[in-house]
Amino acid sequence: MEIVIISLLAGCLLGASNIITEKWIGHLDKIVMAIVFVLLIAVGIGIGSNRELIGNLTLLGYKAMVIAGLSTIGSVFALWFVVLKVDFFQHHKKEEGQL
Amino acid sequence: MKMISCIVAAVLAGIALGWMLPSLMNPEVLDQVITYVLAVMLFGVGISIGYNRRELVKIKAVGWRIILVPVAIAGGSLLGASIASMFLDMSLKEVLVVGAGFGWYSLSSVLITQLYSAELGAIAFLANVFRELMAFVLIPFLAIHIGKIVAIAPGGATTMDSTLPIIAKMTDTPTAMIAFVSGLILTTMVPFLIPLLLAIY
Repeated sequence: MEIVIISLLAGCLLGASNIITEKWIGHLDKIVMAIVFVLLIAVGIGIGSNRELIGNLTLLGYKAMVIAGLSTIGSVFALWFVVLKVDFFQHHKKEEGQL
Repeated sequence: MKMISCIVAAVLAGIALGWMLPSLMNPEVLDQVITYVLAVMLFGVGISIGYNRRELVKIKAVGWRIILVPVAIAGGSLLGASIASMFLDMSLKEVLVVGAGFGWYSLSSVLITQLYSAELGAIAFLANVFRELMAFVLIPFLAIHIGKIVAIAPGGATTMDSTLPIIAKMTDTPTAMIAFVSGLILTTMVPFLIPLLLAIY
């Protein structure tokens, strides 16, 4: 777990420094995406090689659906509540007026 | 949508491979290798996050209260996910970690598989794919019936890339800008939040 956090933080520091240019970021995104695909295949292997997991895929799908539904609804209501309290565009309109 | 099909195909290919050659996953060496690959990937994700600080200047353009948007989305997502632990045979930590993917299925499933279990990784993958799919349906509905800003919520971390075009289409430019910054902040939170939640308990 530590190595994961450390490399993430090290990456953040490097990215925030001025060493990294836009050209680099374009290449980087492609490399990261390639690694993501390799890791997603590994995720799949982890699922596929576990017979018990495969047998339970419907149950896992049901659990996933419930969590996805509730967290999406939760985020909608939380943001709705915030929008009722805060006027996001008031500031923006003022700025437009100044222009 | 092309991206999501490629990703689902990659996972399915892995499942087929694991099914045919179940011994592939057994060696602990492989597990170790994957952890290092994950570290390399997160190093790259970190560089993108660090580089993106330049994008955060956009916050100034919309005003600092924009921070409330990702904060509400994150808080609401975790609160909603926590309710799921009452219905499902899952601990609070497990449902929170899945909810903390905020729709970023590739990273959350990889992180959770490696740091916790293949089962929770599979749930995280499915749940976050479902979240993105739901977002595509909910964004137009919310934009028309509730409000433009509220339409940002279901997209979670994906509002900086995959769901941004539909938000831009259904709302207006300032809202799309808020959506981008909100997605950027949530995307930044995911790689920190998931290991943290797994480490806390």
